[in-house]
Amino acid sequence: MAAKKILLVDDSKTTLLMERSMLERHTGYECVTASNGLEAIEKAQSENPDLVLMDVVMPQMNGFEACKKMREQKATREVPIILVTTRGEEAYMEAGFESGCNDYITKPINGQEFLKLLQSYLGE
Amino acid sequence: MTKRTWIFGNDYMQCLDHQHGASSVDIPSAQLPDAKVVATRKRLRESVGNAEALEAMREIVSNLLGCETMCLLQLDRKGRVPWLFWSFGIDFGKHRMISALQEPVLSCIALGSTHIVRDLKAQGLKENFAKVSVFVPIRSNDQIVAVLALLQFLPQKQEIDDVDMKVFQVLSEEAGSALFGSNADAVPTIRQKHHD
Repeated sequence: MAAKKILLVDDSKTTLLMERSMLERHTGYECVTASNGLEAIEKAQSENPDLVLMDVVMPQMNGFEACKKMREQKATREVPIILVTTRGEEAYMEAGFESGCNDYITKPINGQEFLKLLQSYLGE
Repeated sequence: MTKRTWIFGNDYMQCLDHQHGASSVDIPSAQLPDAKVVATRKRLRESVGNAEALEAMREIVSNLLGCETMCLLQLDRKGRVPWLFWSFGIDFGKHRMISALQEPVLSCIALGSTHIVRDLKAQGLKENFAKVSVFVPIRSNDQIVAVLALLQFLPQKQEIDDVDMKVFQVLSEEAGSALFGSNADAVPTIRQKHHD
């Protein structure tokens, strides 16, 4: 069976390094990356990921807009999207769910909880 | 699709169990933090030039440690007087807090390791600015050349844990070379960046 694929989207190289390091070390998931919302939409179409893990505040297109666009497109309508951001304010969270995300979590990420969440969507 | 909201914290695991039943994941928690340490070291070592090193440091502090208010105080060659080299998320004109940082910065230098200060407000700040502040000595060529001050953590960041301490250690060991290269003793042009 092919490895489950996760699209990691963040304009922070540090966050991408950390997420990738964590996933490659502790899971069998395949990772692909994008650094803004526009690139995320393109990669979501071309890479067909099983889950999208996306930052909110990014250049060119933010995570809310990218999430909305993905929900409008047939190929990505059902893909689980988890927004990951430093912004924990209620207004941001509401905007996140209005954009169509499945989950909204805040940085800094707790490694074990993070992996449990991903595995709850993707399985082992 | 089911929509749920989880903010990582004390209630998180209960929420997860409620939604999905007992999880089959059993990864020793001690192994997981390595990812933050690995990412910190790699990001700093891959930074080319002063500007990218500052951006790397900002990303690490913001994304991995949960603090978006920070500054870097460099030390002069002899007197060890700290002066502002760079900041993020601080309006120093408004807060007038640079003098309030002098004491914890000097304590950090004397200690030679990460210095955690509870309630900086009680130490002379008028503004309700920080319940917990962290001062990290930045080393280059075995000398402390600067101090990184983490002044206000995000509301969801409730505690400084062991992983954070390891990240502070890597910052202390690696950021000096990334920021100043072999010219750590040279006094650079003043750089200040303010974001409110």
